[in-house]
Amino acid sequence: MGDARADDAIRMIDIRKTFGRGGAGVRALDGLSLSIPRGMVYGLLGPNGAGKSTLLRIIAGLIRPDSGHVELFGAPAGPLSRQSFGMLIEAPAFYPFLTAREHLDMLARLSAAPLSVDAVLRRVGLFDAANKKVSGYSLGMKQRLGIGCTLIGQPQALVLDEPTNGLDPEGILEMRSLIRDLAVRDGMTVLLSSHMLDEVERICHRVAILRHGQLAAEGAVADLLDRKGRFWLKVDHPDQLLSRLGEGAEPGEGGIFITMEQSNVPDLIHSLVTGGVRIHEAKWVKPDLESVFLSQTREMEE
Amino acid sequence: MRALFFAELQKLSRQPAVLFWGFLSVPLMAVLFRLSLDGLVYLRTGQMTRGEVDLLLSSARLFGVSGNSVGHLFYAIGLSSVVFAEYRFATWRLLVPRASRSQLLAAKYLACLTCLAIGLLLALTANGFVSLVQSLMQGEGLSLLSIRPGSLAVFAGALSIAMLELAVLTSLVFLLTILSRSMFAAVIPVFLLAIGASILQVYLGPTRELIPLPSLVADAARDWLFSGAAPERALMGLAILTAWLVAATGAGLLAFTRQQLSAE
Repeated sequence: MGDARADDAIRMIDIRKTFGRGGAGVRALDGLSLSIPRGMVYGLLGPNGAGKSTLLRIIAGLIRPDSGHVELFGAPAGPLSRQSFGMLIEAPAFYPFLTAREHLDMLARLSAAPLSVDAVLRRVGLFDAANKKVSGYSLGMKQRLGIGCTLIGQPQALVLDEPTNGLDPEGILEMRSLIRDLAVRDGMTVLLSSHMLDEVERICHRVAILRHGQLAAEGAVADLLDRKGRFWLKVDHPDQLLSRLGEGAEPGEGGIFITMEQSNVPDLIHSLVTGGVRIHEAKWVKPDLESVFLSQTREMEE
Repeated sequence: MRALFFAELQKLSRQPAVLFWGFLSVPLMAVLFRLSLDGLVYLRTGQMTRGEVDLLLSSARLFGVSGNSVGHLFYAIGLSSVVFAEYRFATWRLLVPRASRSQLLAAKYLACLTCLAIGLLLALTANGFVSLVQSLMQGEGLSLLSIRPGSLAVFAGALSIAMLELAVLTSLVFLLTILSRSMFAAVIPVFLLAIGASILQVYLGPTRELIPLPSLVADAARDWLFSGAAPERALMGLAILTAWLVAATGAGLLAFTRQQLSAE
């Protein structure tokens, strides 16, 4: 969890942040340490109030942590180290009196090595609406422009807060493919927060689950899913087996679910068969990220 | 920094109402006011009010508009709009990750001072044009217009005092807008301060200079420039204006660099 590596794109060390003072203070982050390796799409999950937005705002320099610090590509977070980042924090914010092209022109001038404005407009599908004032844009168009603004400075890493918010299904697919493309083809690191767990499951290599400002779970998506997998059996007399297996087993879907390590499955089958249990069907059931998320946050609650 | 400065100018150029009413209307209204008075006199008496006009001295007097209390209201609205827009549209989150906060604020400050200076220079041009027309209407050609030796120093002095006074106003409005994240909360105290200073000016007479308010001490400096008042008072006035500038700018910068932008 949060192991420090030399090739991390973002490293957060013991971040604490409380909003308000005294008894009325709300602890948003409570000693959080997390490392985001380079060249990876990293998902940040957590229920409302878990501290995701606070964390992203600290990375973006919008708020200061009470203690702890953030490193970006090995350097302390600051205006200079943030130059290699593209950041889209919460809902995209724009000047309604400027056009998309003017926004990108302005941000390009603030970047050391900007991409061509036309190329970015084409990439996010806003080339035809480039000269229209942002006040006339739909939420989806604003989201696309937000992504365009993060890309214009040719960043090495992106920090995206709910990047598919407001997009239609086609737009969501395009955005997912764009994010994957940026990571795979351009080698970009992407840290994204999302409430859409299936989206995170599809595009992220690793995830961190936050709860009450602390890390509830962290790891590769595949590992987390395997860790929470269950073995399902259909046998002749399930009641007898349930009482024999005890706490780790529960009835479901016409059979029995057994919570266990996948590596122990062959031993279990062998012992059941030698014990005279007739097995009609058996399978390893992988959970989706949603059930992992729910079980992790519940465990933390308890 | 250069890019940030031009970005601020670009944003202002796309907000013509803010640019006109906040930065250009006050000096232009001063010219219009002068023109209206001259026109009234001409209609009543059939004569022009002015004889020979020193263009630089006439313009230097016009710079006194920087101390006008109603002018401060318009200026404060324009200045506050520049900062408040970033809170209103939550666009600090677009800028803060890309540049240091001190640079962002400095770019806004310079863009505002540039627009204020452009407003004064436009008024100067309009004033010169009005004088030219009046001279031509009196059938004297250009002979009524002159630039006397020594006027340039008065002109430069008046421009410097006006810009210093406007810089103090800019710093105060920036500070209040940052602290309150509201335009009203910034504009109204500044306007009340200006109105209060005007009332004190009327009621206190010469003793007003004992009160270290920006517009009163700027007036003391202008009195020295135009009426030959004691230079010590002018120097003291300029020192107090500078102290206001340093204090308000420092406080604004400190407040902004430490401000949490969690809910713009």
